[in-house]
Amino acid sequence: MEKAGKPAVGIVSAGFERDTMATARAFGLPQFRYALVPDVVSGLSPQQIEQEITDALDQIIEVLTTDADEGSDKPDTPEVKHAERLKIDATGSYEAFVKMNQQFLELEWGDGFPLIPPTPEMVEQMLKGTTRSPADVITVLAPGSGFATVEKIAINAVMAGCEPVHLPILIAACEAYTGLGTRVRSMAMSTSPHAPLMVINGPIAKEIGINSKRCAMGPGLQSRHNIVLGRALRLIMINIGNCRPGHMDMDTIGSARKFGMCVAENEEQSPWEPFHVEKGFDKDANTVTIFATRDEIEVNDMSNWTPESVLNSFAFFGAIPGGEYLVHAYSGDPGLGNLLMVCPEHANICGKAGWTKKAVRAYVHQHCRISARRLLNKHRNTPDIIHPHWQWLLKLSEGELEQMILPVLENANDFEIMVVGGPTGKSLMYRCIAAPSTAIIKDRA
Amino acid sequence: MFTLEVLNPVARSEGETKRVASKAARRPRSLDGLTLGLLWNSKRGGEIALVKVGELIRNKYKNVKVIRYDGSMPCEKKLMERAKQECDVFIGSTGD
Repeated sequence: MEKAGKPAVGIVSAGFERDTMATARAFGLPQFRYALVPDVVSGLSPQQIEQEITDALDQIIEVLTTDADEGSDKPDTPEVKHAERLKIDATGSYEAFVKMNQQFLELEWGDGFPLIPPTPEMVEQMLKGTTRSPADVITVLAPGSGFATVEKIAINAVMAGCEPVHLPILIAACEAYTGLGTRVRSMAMSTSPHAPLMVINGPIAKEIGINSKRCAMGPGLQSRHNIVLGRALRLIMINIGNCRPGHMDMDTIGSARKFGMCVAENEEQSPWEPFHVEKGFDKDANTVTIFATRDEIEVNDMSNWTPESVLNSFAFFGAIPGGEYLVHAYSGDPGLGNLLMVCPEHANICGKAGWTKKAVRAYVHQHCRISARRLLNKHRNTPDIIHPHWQWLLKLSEGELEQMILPVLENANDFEIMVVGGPTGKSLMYRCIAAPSTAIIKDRA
Repeated sequence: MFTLEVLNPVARSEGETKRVASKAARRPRSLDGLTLGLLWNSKRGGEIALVKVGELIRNKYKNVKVIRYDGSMPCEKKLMERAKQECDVFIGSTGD
């Protein structure tokens, strides 16, 4: 609105000041001004909200009727943030390593774990992993609209402990990240613990040794490639996307998932076509898919051996009030992409009995249902946000709502399926906030 | 003495470039006679704040017209275009 010449003021809750200004700068509005209210209004009663707004009226009017001071667009950042190279003097190499890590952490350039120093030599070596030129801009990364050049991706890859062979994967991951579309900002900035999950398909996974089997999402030797790839994407989000915890990443509690998640699909033990083939890519293509995850649930079923029984477990574990389709704000979202990360045992119980992915999806959708009473509960105090198509639900009695069974997700296609893990009947389910996005890994050196 | 040289991992932002960067809009001296747009992204609480502030401004200034826009996350382009055509100044809230 400001860019169109229309004065605008945002009402901002205390604690979100830096987030607001970082966002404004990312959109090229460093002079943006706001009015501050003391609390996050979504948790207040209507009377409390009205009082806070009444108290903020003078600020709102001032922002709308007085011009910004010249010079108010200068961010208060130390010069070092803009230097291309930093020199750290120390008595020896170990002290230099420690000092660099302290400095990077204070500048909010790290994830909290020790970082590998991105020396010019290490970065040059990393850049040998791709045929792309260091200055090439792969994408403009949300939420901070940072230019993701091949060189900046390589620097962050070094810091995470990656090898040159990982660089083309991270370049594709940046493309897939942007491919999430409008929901990418929500994944990066939300007050919920949203976190990206990278999934690798194609021959590259085996070639490099990206783990798709036992402990594939966990720590340790067998997942070393998974770990550094997932970590690199988080560092890229922080340093290229400016997704800094506490002022662009406004997560209420946080999650260990945010340190990094990367896994390969266990294509060889899957009874179905691999995920990327299902999405229209060649079997021999190497791809990265980003899922914008909300949370993780284990589907623990080592007792059943028929498809219906096993899939009922998925439906039961997944019957958590979602119901975003009831809410006006989410209408028109291109899918939610909830991921069923199926272990080979569960997958083969279904596959060997002739169940296709489509049949599995349809069955889980059909049975992943709960009462309208539970589905509506989150929105009981805020009937305004219920979509007009569903407002009639609000007229029903508690008993009628209890009797009415509705799907947790609107469409069967909102469930995505891939096979990961070792030989035990334990799968995972990730609730997601967007349809997944896939990009081809190319330009490998 | 040992010197460790390292490269800066932070990217430049598109928002800093001349193509995108923009100054704030010029402000009116008063809100008298203007049309005020209230932009809500459908997050709980924002609508209550906006309705209240619309009411307070209408009481304080002469001939203020208030229009509320119920958007989503993010607001659809079409809605934003219509709002731009119809209003002189805006107040927005996200609810968190």
